[in-house]
Amino acid sequence: MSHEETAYDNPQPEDQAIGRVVRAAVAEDLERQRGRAAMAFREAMQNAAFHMHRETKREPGWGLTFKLHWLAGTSSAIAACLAVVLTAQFLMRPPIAPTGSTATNSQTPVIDRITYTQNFDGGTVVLQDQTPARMLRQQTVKQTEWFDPSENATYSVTQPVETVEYQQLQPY
Amino acid sequence: MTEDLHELVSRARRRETQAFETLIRRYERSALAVAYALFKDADRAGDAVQEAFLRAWQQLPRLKESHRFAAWLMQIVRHAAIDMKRRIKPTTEYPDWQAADSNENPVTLTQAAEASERVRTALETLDETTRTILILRYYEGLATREIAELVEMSPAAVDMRLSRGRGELKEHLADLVEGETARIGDRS
Repeated sequence: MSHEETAYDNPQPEDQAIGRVVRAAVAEDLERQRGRAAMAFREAMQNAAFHMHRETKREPGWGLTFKLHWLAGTSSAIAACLAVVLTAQFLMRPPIAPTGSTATNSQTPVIDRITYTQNFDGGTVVLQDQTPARMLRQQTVKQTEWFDPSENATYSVTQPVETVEYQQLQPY
Repeated sequence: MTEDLHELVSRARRRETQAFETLIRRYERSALAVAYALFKDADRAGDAVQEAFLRAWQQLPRLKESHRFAAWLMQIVRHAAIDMKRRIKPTTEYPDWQAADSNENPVTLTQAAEASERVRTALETLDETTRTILILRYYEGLATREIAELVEMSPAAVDMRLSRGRGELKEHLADLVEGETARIGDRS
């Protein structure tokens, strides 16, 4: 017997018999469970990879911190810039009162602003530090419209904005 | 073996999934033994082990000493099993229906099923730690020193539990043990 072995590592026939009886009963049940954990792990990793890929494509740099808000998409940025440029040009010009305007302040151009918002549950995702989180997406469309009577034209700028918020989930 | 474990844990910590899968394969039987000792139900033990490995993957970056991986994992398995036990509502259990095998004598099959049921009932009379140690020894075939590492006890304490557990099982399963001892004697 080496110094690492104990008396019970070399059992007597009666102890061997107990071992066989126990093994036969337990192994019958437990051997059927083998392989499940590896399969579940593989599946979880595939799901995580899928979400990571999807989210990374939408917003590079996501997952660095929780509750980050991102402006999504180049179109949003272009639209926002366009809105700023047009508004600036508009404000720098002398205001034009619309002909036959019923507005109380005739110096103010007619401006109409409408905001549409909708919320989506983006499902559960796994962040880069392996923390589970719930993704909440809010899509907002800001529409600004005004009438230029000098040119008898209606201008409209649509500004789509998407914010994504991650709420940390408690792993059970 | 220890270096190998250290290497595997380090790789798994760096989020190498293949290394973690190797760890799952290596410790799955021990994990099942620990969960089974708590649940006494193989399917639920399987559920708990599945959940425990996912928790272990999430918590692995927090493990400071890689040589403690096995004991740390067994604690996670135990907690996962306890949590699951709390969540599960008591249900009526029906015996599993097994597909009939035409090569097996029905009498032999029934006797084997009855013997297994008696062993499971006898195991339930033991305390959880002794039951865990006995299952680790006989299902996984671990040496005392290895069991001691997993359950974080001294080898002497493990031997004491083994001795006590065997003694109690002998009382409950005297006829089965005698029959098996005779068969071992005939072969030798």
